[in-house]
Amino acid sequence: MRLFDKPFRWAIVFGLTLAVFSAFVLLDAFVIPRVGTAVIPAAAADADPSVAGDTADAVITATSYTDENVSITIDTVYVYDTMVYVADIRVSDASYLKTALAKGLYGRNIKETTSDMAEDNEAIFAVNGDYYGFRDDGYVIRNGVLYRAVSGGNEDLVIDSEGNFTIIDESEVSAQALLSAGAWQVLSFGPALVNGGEITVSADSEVDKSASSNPRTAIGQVSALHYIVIVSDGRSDESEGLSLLELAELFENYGCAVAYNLDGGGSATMWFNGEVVNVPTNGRSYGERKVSDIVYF
Amino acid sequence: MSISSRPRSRRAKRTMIAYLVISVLSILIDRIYAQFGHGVYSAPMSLAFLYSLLGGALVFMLLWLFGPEDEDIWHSRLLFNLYNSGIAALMTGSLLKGVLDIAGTSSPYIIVYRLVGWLLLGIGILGFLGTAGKHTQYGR
Repeated sequence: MRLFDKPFRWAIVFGLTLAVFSAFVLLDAFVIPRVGTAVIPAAAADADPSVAGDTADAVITATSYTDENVSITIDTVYVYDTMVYVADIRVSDASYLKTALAKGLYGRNIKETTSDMAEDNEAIFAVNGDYYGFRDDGYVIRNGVLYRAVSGGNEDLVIDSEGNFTIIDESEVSAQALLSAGAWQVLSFGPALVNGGEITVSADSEVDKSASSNPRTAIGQVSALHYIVIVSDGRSDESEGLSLLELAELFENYGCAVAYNLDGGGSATMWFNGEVVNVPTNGRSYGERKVSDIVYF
Repeated sequence: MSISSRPRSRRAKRTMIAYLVISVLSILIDRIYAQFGHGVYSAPMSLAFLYSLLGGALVFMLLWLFGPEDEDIWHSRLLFNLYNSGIAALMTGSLLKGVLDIAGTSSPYIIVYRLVGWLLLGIGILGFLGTAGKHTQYGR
Protein backbone atom coordinates (compact mmCIF):
# COMPACT_ATOMS: atom_id res chain seq x y z
CA MET A 1 0.00 0.00 0.00
CA ARG A 2 3.07 2.25 0.13
CA LEU A 3 2.56 2.58 -3.61
CA PHE A 4 -0.36 4.90 -2.88
CA ASP A 5 1.36 6.94 -0.20
CA LYS A 6 2.64 9.34 -2.86
CA PRO A 7 0.32 12.30 -3.41
CA PHE A 8 -2.22 11.90 -6.24
CA ARG A 9 -1.12 8.39 -7.19
CA TRP A 10 -4.28 6.84 -5.72
CA ALA A 11 -6.40 9.65 -7.17
CA ILE A 12 -4.98 9.02 -10.64
CA VAL A 13 -5.47 5.24 -10.50
CA PHE A 14 -8.97 5.42 -8.99
CA GLY A 15 -9.99 8.30 -11.26
CA LEU A 16 -8.92 6.39 -14.36
CA THR A 17 -10.73 3.27 -13.18
CA LEU A 18 -13.88 5.28 -12.53
CA ALA A 19 -13.65 6.96 -15.93
CA VAL A 20 -13.11 3.71 -17.83
CA PHE A 21 -15.95 1.97 -15.98
CA SER A 22 -18.27 4.93 -16.56
CA ALA A 23 -17.43 4.92 -20.26
CA PHE A 24 -18.31 1.23 -20.36
CA VAL A 25 -21.62 1.84 -18.55
CA LEU A 26 -22.58 4.56 -21.05
CA LEU A 27 -21.54 2.48 -24.05
CA ASP A 28 -23.45 -0.49 -22.69
CA ALA A 29 -26.56 1.63 -22.15
CA PHE A 30 -26.52 3.53 -25.43
CA VAL A 31 -24.36 1.78 -28.00
CA ILE A 32 -23.32 -1.85 -27.49
CA PRO A 33 -25.94 -4.14 -29.08
CA ARG A 34 -26.99 -7.26 -27.17
CA VAL A 35 -28.98 -9.70 -29.23
CA GLY A 36 -31.69 -11.76 -27.55
CA THR A 37 -33.94 -14.42 -29.01
CA ALA A 38 -34.44 -14.40 -32.77
CA VAL A 39 -37.79 -13.19 -34.03
CA ILE A 40 -40.19 -15.04 -36.30
CA PRO A 41 -40.90 -12.52 -39.08
CA ALA A 42 -44.41 -11.12 -38.97
CA ALA A 43 -45.20 -12.22 -42.50
CA ALA A 44 -44.47 -15.86 -41.65
CA ALA A 45 -46.86 -15.72 -38.72
CA ASP A 46 -49.72 -14.26 -40.71
CA ALA A 47 -52.55 -16.37 -42.01
CA ASP A 48 -52.46 -14.83 -45.46
CA PRO A 49 -49.23 -12.96 -46.11
CA SER A 50 -49.90 -12.80 -49.84
CA VAL A 51 -52.69 -10.34 -49.22
CA ALA A 52 -50.74 -8.11 -46.84
CA GLY A 53 -48.62 -5.62 -48.71
CA ASP A 54 -50.13 -6.55 -52.06
CA THR A 55 -50.52 -3.10 -53.52
CA ALA A 56 -51.23 -4.13 -57.10
CA ASP A 57 -54.90 -3.10 -56.99
CA ALA A 58 -54.47 -0.31 -54.49
CA VAL A 59 -55.52 3.28 -55.00
CA ILE A 60 -52.76 5.43 -53.60
CA THR A 61 -52.58 9.20 -53.20
CA ALA A 62 -50.20 11.39 -51.23
CA THR A 63 -52.39 11.06 -48.16
CA SER A 64 -54.39 7.89 -48.65
CA TYR A 65 -54.24 4.23 -49.49
CA THR A 66 -57.11 1.96 -50.32
CA ASP A 67 -57.26 -1.65 -51.36
CA GLU A 68 -59.80 -4.34 -50.63
CA ASN A 69 -58.31 -5.01 -47.19
CA VAL A 70 -56.70 -1.82 -45.96
CA SER A 71 -57.90 1.78 -46.00
CA ILE A 72 -55.68 4.56 -44.70
CA THR A 73 -56.36 8.30 -44.74
CA ILE A 74 -53.91 10.80 -43.27
CA ASP A 75 -55.07 14.26 -42.21
CA THR A 76 -52.76 17.04 -41.12
CA VAL A 77 -54.24 19.46 -38.61
CA TYR A 78 -52.81 22.36 -36.63
CA VAL A 79 -54.11 22.37 -33.07
CA TYR A 80 -52.65 23.46 -29.71
CA ASP A 81 -49.93 25.32 -31.67
CA THR A 82 -48.83 21.94 -32.94
CA MET A 83 -48.69 20.15 -36.26
CA VAL A 84 -50.59 16.91 -35.83
CA TYR A 85 -50.81 14.02 -38.27
CA VAL A 86 -53.86 11.81 -37.90
CA ALA A 87 -54.15 8.49 -39.69
CA ASP A 88 -57.57 6.86 -39.87
CA ILE A 89 -57.04 3.18 -40.62
CA ARG A 90 -59.52 0.39 -41.32
CA VAL A 91 -58.52 -3.19 -42.06
CA SER A 92 -60.48 -6.29 -43.02
CA ASP A 93 -58.53 -8.56 -40.70
CA ALA A 94 -56.51 -8.15 -37.50
CA SER A 95 -53.46 -9.67 -39.16
CA TYR A 96 -52.92 -6.37 -41.00
CA LEU A 97 -52.00 -4.69 -37.72
CA LYS A 98 -48.45 -5.80 -37.07
CA THR A 99 -45.27 -4.97 -35.25
CA ALA A 100 -41.66 -5.46 -36.25
CA LEU A 101 -38.33 -5.33 -34.46
CA ALA A 102 -35.25 -3.57 -35.77
CA LYS A 103 -33.17 -5.87 -37.98
CA GLY A 104 -35.67 -8.61 -37.17
CA LEU A 105 -33.92 -9.20 -33.86
CA TYR A 106 -34.91 -8.87 -30.25
CA GLY A 107 -32.31 -7.26 -28.00
CA ARG A 108 -30.91 -4.13 -26.46
CA ASN A 109 -29.51 -1.31 -28.61
CA ILE A 110 -30.56 -3.02 -31.82
CA LYS A 111 -31.91 -0.10 -33.78
CA GLU A 112 -33.12 1.00 -37.19
CA THR A 113 -35.09 3.96 -38.42
CA THR A 114 -38.84 3.57 -38.66
CA SER A 115 -38.46 4.04 -42.44
CA ASP A 116 -35.97 1.21 -42.82
CA MET A 117 -38.06 -1.17 -40.73
CA ALA A 118 -41.19 -0.20 -42.65
CA GLU A 119 -39.51 -0.86 -45.98
CA ASP A 120 -37.92 -4.10 -44.79
CA ASN A 121 -41.40 -5.34 -43.81
CA GLU A 122 -43.15 -4.01 -46.92
CA ALA A 123 -45.39 -1.84 -44.81
CA ILE A 124 -47.90 0.62 -46.19
CA PHE A 125 -47.96 2.72 -43.03
CA ALA A 126 -45.78 2.65 -39.91
CA VAL A 127 -45.06 4.51 -36.70
CA ASN A 128 -42.37 4.00 -34.09
CA GLY A 129 -43.23 1.59 -31.28
CA ASP A 130 -42.35 1.59 -27.59
CA TYR A 131 -38.53 1.51 -27.96
CA TYR A 132 -38.44 -1.55 -25.70
CA GLY A 133 -34.72 -2.07 -26.42
CA PHE A 134 -33.72 1.07 -24.54
CA ARG A 135 -34.89 -0.39 -21.25
CA ASP A 136 -34.40 -3.60 -19.32
CA ASP A 137 -37.97 -3.97 -18.11
CA GLY A 138 -41.51 -3.80 -19.46
CA TYR A 139 -43.29 -6.68 -21.17
CA VAL A 140 -42.46 -7.41 -24.78
CA ILE A 141 -44.85 -9.63 -26.72
CA ARG A 142 -44.72 -9.27 -30.48
CA ASN A 143 -46.66 -11.22 -33.06
CA GLY A 144 -47.54 -13.82 -30.44
CA VAL A 145 -43.96 -14.32 -29.18
CA LEU A 146 -43.00 -13.44 -25.63
CA TYR A 147 -39.59 -11.79 -25.50
CA ARG A 148 -39.50 -10.11 -22.12
CA ALA A 149 -41.50 -10.92 -19.01
CA VAL A 150 -39.87 -8.43 -16.64
CA SER A 151 -42.41 -6.05 -15.14
CA GLY A 152 -41.60 -2.37 -15.15
CA GLY A 153 -44.89 -1.55 -13.42
CA ASN A 154 -46.11 0.13 -16.60
CA GLU A 155 -49.55 0.42 -18.09
CA ASP A 156 -49.39 -1.69 -21.25
CA LEU A 157 -51.39 -1.82 -24.43
CA VAL A 158 -52.48 -5.35 -25.25
CA ILE A 159 -53.61 -6.10 -28.79
CA ASP A 160 -55.27 -9.47 -29.08
CA SER A 161 -55.50 -11.73 -32.12
CA GLU A 162 -58.81 -10.08 -33.07
CA GLY A 163 -57.10 -6.71 -33.17
CA ASN A 164 -58.85 -5.39 -30.08
CA PHE A 165 -57.10 -3.10 -27.58
CA THR A 166 -57.05 -3.47 -23.83
CA ILE A 167 -55.06 -1.66 -21.18
CA ILE A 168 -53.41 -3.70 -18.43
CA ASP A 169 -51.19 -2.94 -15.46
CA GLU A 170 -47.95 -4.93 -15.41
CA SER A 171 -48.04 -5.06 -11.64
CA GLU A 172 -51.35 -6.92 -11.76
CA VAL A 173 -50.82 -9.54 -14.46
CA SER A 174 -47.82 -11.52 -15.67
CA ALA A 175 -46.62 -11.54 -19.26
CA GLN A 176 -47.10 -15.31 -19.42
CA ALA A 177 -50.73 -14.90 -18.34
CA LEU A 178 -51.27 -12.29 -21.05
CA LEU A 179 -49.79 -14.58 -23.67
CA SER A 180 -51.95 -17.49 -22.49
CA ALA A 181 -55.01 -15.22 -22.66
CA GLY A 182 -54.32 -14.52 -26.32
CA ALA A 183 -52.25 -11.35 -26.33
CA TRP A 184 -50.72 -10.95 -29.78
CA GLN A 185 -48.88 -7.66 -29.21
CA VAL A 186 -47.98 -5.99 -25.93
CA LEU A 187 -46.53 -2.48 -26.03
CA SER A 188 -45.05 -1.17 -22.83
CA PHE A 189 -44.66 2.61 -22.67
CA GLY A 190 -47.80 4.52 -21.80
CA PRO A 191 -49.64 5.89 -20.17
CA ALA A 192 -53.08 4.95 -21.44
CA LEU A 193 -54.73 8.08 -22.80
CA VAL A 194 -58.29 6.86 -23.20
CA ASN A 195 -59.89 3.74 -21.75
CA GLY A 196 -63.54 2.80 -22.02
CA GLY A 197 -64.09 6.00 -23.99
CA GLU A 198 -62.94 8.13 -21.05
CA ILE A 199 -59.78 10.22 -20.85
CA THR A 200 -57.45 8.67 -18.28
CA VAL A 201 -54.76 11.36 -18.05
CA SER A 202 -54.84 14.80 -16.47
CA ALA A 203 -53.02 18.07 -17.12
CA ASP A 204 -50.32 16.90 -14.71
CA SER A 205 -49.77 13.53 -16.36
CA GLU A 206 -46.41 12.97 -17.93
CA VAL A 207 -44.07 10.26 -19.12
CA ASP A 208 -41.74 10.02 -16.16
CA LYS A 209 -40.58 13.61 -15.73
CA SER A 210 -40.65 14.82 -19.31
CA ALA A 211 -41.79 18.23 -20.39
CA SER A 212 -45.48 18.83 -20.97
CA SER A 213 -45.22 19.56 -24.67
CA ASN A 214 -43.45 17.08 -26.88
CA PRO A 215 -43.50 15.26 -30.17
CA ARG A 216 -45.80 12.30 -29.59
CA THR A 217 -46.80 9.00 -31.13
CA ALA A 218 -49.96 7.26 -30.00
CA ILE A 219 -52.43 4.69 -31.26
CA GLY A 220 -56.13 4.22 -30.55
CA GLN A 221 -59.01 1.95 -31.45
CA VAL A 222 -62.37 3.35 -32.50
CA SER A 223 -64.15 0.05 -33.07
CA ALA A 224 -63.40 -3.43 -34.38
CA LEU A 225 -60.59 -3.17 -36.98
CA HIS A 226 -60.82 0.62 -37.02
CA TYR A 227 -57.84 2.53 -35.64
CA ILE A 228 -56.55 6.06 -35.24
CA VAL A 229 -52.80 6.75 -35.15
CA ILE A 230 -51.60 10.22 -34.20
CA VAL A 231 -48.10 11.68 -34.45
CA SER A 232 -47.37 15.25 -33.46
CA ASP A 233 -44.35 17.42 -34.19
CA GLY A 234 -42.80 19.37 -31.35
CA ARG A 235 -39.72 21.05 -29.90
CA SER A 236 -39.66 23.59 -32.71
CA ASP A 237 -40.80 27.16 -33.30
CA GLU A 238 -43.39 25.94 -35.79
CA SER A 239 -44.82 23.19 -33.62
CA GLU A 240 -44.82 23.29 -29.85
CA GLY A 241 -45.83 19.69 -29.20
CA LEU A 242 -48.69 18.11 -27.32
CA SER A 243 -49.27 17.39 -23.66
CA LEU A 244 -50.67 13.97 -22.87
CA LEU A 245 -54.00 15.53 -22.02
CA GLU A 246 -54.18 17.35 -25.37
CA LEU A 247 -53.28 14.10 -27.11
CA ALA A 248 -55.97 12.24 -25.18
CA GLU A 249 -58.55 14.90 -26.11
CA LEU A 250 -57.74 14.40 -29.79
CA PHE A 251 -58.31 10.66 -29.50
CA GLU A 252 -61.55 11.25 -27.63
CA ASN A 253 -62.69 13.62 -30.39
CA TYR A 254 -61.96 10.94 -32.99
CA GLY A 255 -64.18 8.54 -31.06
CA CYS A 256 -61.56 6.17 -29.72
CA ALA A 257 -62.59 3.75 -26.99
CA VAL A 258 -58.96 3.01 -26.13
CA ALA A 259 -55.84 5.05 -26.88
CA TYR A 260 -52.28 4.55 -25.76
CA ASN A 261 -49.15 6.70 -25.77
CA LEU A 262 -46.07 5.21 -27.45
CA ASP A 263 -42.48 6.42 -27.39
CA GLY A 264 -42.33 10.09 -28.41
CA GLY A 265 -39.77 12.86 -28.41
CA GLY A 266 -37.11 12.34 -31.05
CA SER A 267 -38.53 8.89 -31.80
CA ALA A 268 -41.92 10.17 -32.99
CA THR A 269 -42.13 9.19 -36.65
CA MET A 270 -44.98 8.52 -39.05
CA TRP A 271 -44.10 6.82 -42.33
CA PHE A 272 -46.49 6.34 -45.23
CA ASN A 273 -45.90 4.80 -48.64
CA GLY A 274 -42.16 5.40 -48.73
CA GLU A 275 -42.09 8.84 -47.11
CA VAL A 276 -41.76 10.19 -43.60
CA VAL A 277 -44.92 12.21 -43.02
CA ASN A 278 -43.98 14.27 -39.97
CA VAL A 279 -40.85 16.25 -39.10
CA PRO A 280 -38.94 14.15 -36.55
CA THR A 281 -36.61 16.12 -34.31
CA ASN A 282 -34.86 15.76 -31.00
CA GLY A 283 -34.97 19.52 -30.58
CA ARG A 284 -31.38 20.02 -31.72
CA SER A 285 -31.38 18.46 -35.15
CA TYR A 286 -33.93 17.13 -37.59
CA GLY A 287 -34.12 13.58 -38.85
CA GLU A 288 -35.31 10.15 -37.91
CA ARG A 289 -34.02 8.53 -34.76
CA LYS A 290 -33.16 4.87 -34.86
CA VAL A 291 -35.53 2.91 -32.63
CA SER A 292 -36.15 -0.68 -31.57
CA ASP A 293 -39.51 -1.37 -33.13
CA ILE A 294 -42.44 -0.23 -35.19
CA VAL A 295 -46.19 -0.70 -35.38
CA TYR A 296 -47.28 -1.02 -38.98
CA PHE A 297 -50.04 -1.92 -41.41
CA MET B 1 -6.28 27.74 23.05
CA SER B 2 -9.59 28.79 21.54
CA ILE B 3 -11.01 27.21 18.42
CA SER B 4 -10.68 30.42 16.46
CA SER B 5 -7.02 31.01 17.16
CA ARG B 6 -5.49 27.53 17.13
CA PRO B 7 -3.63 26.31 14.04
CA ARG B 8 -5.77 24.38 11.60
CA SER B 9 -5.11 21.76 9.03
CA ARG B 10 -4.33 23.24 5.64
CA ARG B 11 -5.16 19.96 3.96
CA ALA B 12 -8.65 19.98 5.50
CA LYS B 13 -9.15 23.51 4.22
CA ARG B 14 -7.86 22.65 0.73
CA THR B 15 -10.08 19.55 0.58
CA MET B 16 -13.09 21.50 1.80
CA ILE B 17 -12.60 24.12 -0.91
CA ALA B 18 -12.11 21.43 -3.54
CA TYR B 19 -15.39 19.79 -2.52
CA LEU B 20 -17.18 23.14 -2.62
CA VAL B 21 -15.92 23.68 -6.17
CA ILE B 22 -17.03 20.15 -7.14
CA SER B 23 -20.48 20.84 -5.63
CA VAL B 24 -20.84 23.98 -7.72
CA LEU B 25 -19.68 22.11 -10.83
CA SER B 26 -22.24 19.38 -10.15
CA ILE B 27 -25.02 21.96 -9.91
CA LEU B 28 -23.79 23.56 -13.14
CA ILE B 29 -23.76 20.21 -14.94
CA ASP B 30 -27.35 19.63 -13.84
CA ARG B 31 -28.46 23.08 -15.02
CA ILE B 32 -26.64 22.80 -18.35
CA TYR B 33 -27.98 19.29 -18.92
CA ALA B 34 -31.50 20.55 -18.19
CA GLN B 35 -31.12 23.07 -21.04
CA PHE B 36 -30.74 20.18 -23.49
CA GLY B 37 -33.19 17.82 -21.81
CA HIS B 38 -36.44 19.42 -23.07
CA GLY B 39 -37.62 19.93 -19.52
CA VAL B 40 -36.81 16.37 -18.46
CA TYR B 41 -35.00 16.26 -15.14
CA SER B 42 -33.69 13.64 -12.79
CA ALA B 43 -33.53 13.83 -9.01
CA PRO B 44 -30.32 11.76 -8.82
CA MET B 45 -28.59 14.25 -11.11
CA SER B 46 -30.09 17.33 -9.44
CA LEU B 47 -29.11 16.11 -5.97
CA ALA B 48 -25.69 14.64 -6.80
CA PHE B 49 -24.03 17.76 -5.41
CA LEU B 50 -25.18 16.75 -1.90
CA TYR B 51 -22.57 13.97 -1.78
CA SER B 52 -19.73 16.44 -2.24
CA LEU B 53 -21.38 19.19 -0.19
CA LEU B 54 -22.38 17.12 2.85
CA GLY B 55 -19.97 14.19 2.60
CA GLY B 56 -17.12 16.34 1.43
CA ALA B 57 -17.21 20.06 2.14
CA LEU B 58 -19.14 19.80 5.42
CA VAL B 59 -17.04 16.94 6.81
CA PHE B 60 -13.76 18.65 5.97
CA MET B 61 -15.04 21.97 7.28
CA LEU B 62 -15.72 20.25 10.61
CA LEU B 63 -12.27 18.67 10.49
CA TRP B 64 -10.80 22.04 9.65
CA LEU B 65 -12.60 23.67 12.57
CA PHE B 66 -12.39 20.91 15.16
CA GLY B 67 -10.05 18.23 13.80
CA PRO B 68 -6.37 17.50 14.37
CA GLU B 69 -4.13 20.48 14.05
CA ASP B 70 -1.48 18.79 11.95
CA GLU B 71 -1.58 17.96 8.27
CA ASP B 72 -2.41 14.33 8.96
CA ILE B 73 -6.12 14.94 9.38
CA TRP B 74 -7.19 11.40 8.44
CA HIS B 75 -4.18 9.79 10.17
CA SER B 76 -3.60 7.67 7.09
CA ARG B 77 -3.35 8.79 3.48
CA LEU B 78 -4.84 5.49 2.34
CA LEU B 79 -7.94 5.92 4.50
CA PHE B 80 -8.23 9.54 3.37
CA ASN B 81 -8.06 8.35 -0.24
CA LEU B 82 -10.63 5.62 0.34
CA TYR B 83 -13.09 8.09 1.86
CA ASN B 84 -12.70 10.57 -1.01
CA SER B 85 -12.96 7.74 -3.55
CA GLY B 86 -16.22 6.66 -1.93
CA ILE B 87 -17.64 10.15 -2.37
CA ALA B 88 -16.38 10.22 -5.97
CA ALA B 89 -17.98 6.85 -6.78
CA LEU B 90 -21.34 7.81 -5.24
CA MET B 91 -21.39 11.16 -6.99
CA THR B 92 -20.40 9.74 -10.37
CA GLY B 93 -23.03 7.02 -10.02
CA SER B 94 -25.66 9.61 -9.19
CA LEU B 95 -24.77 11.79 -12.18
CA LEU B 96 -24.76 8.77 -14.50
CA LYS B 97 -28.11 7.64 -13.12
CA GLY B 98 -29.38 11.11 -13.99
CA VAL B 99 -28.07 10.86 -17.55
CA LEU B 100 -29.77 7.47 -17.97
CA ASP B 101 -33.01 8.66 -16.33
CA ILE B 102 -33.22 11.68 -18.61
CA ALA B 103 -32.61 9.51 -21.65
CA GLY B 104 -35.35 7.16 -20.42
CA THR B 105 -33.14 4.15 -19.93
CA SER B 106 -31.39 2.29 -17.14
CA SER B 107 -28.27 0.25 -16.45
CA PRO B 108 -27.68 -2.77 -14.24
CA TYR B 109 -24.26 -1.36 -13.41
CA ILE B 110 -25.40 1.72 -11.47
CA ILE B 111 -25.62 -0.42 -8.34
CA VAL B 112 -21.85 -0.97 -8.60
CA TYR B 113 -21.22 2.72 -7.91
CA ARG B 114 -23.39 2.57 -4.80
CA LEU B 115 -21.85 -0.63 -3.50
CA VAL B 116 -18.26 0.49 -4.10
CA GLY B 117 -19.00 4.02 -2.94
CA TRP B 118 -20.56 3.08 0.38
CA LEU B 119 -17.95 0.37 0.94
CA LEU B 120 -15.04 2.77 0.47
CA LEU B 121 -16.82 5.44 2.48
CA GLY B 122 -17.45 2.96 5.29
CA ILE B 123 -13.84 1.75 5.35
CA GLY B 124 -12.65 5.35 5.35
CA ILE B 125 -14.90 6.37 8.24
CA LEU B 126 -14.29 3.24 10.33
CA GLY B 127 -10.57 3.53 9.69
CA PHE B 128 -10.63 7.17 10.68
CA LEU B 129 -12.52 6.44 13.90
CA GLY B 130 -10.24 3.49 14.68
CA THR B 131 -7.03 5.37 14.14
CA ALA B 132 -8.43 8.44 15.89
CA GLY B 133 -9.02 6.21 18.95
CA LYS B 134 -5.44 4.95 18.81
CA HIS B 135 -4.07 8.45 18.50
CA THR B 136 -6.15 9.53 21.50
CA GLN B 137 -5.15 6.41 23.46
CA TYR B 138 -1.44 7.00 22.92
CA GLY B 139 -1.73 10.66 23.71
CA ARG B 140 -1.11 12.02 20.24
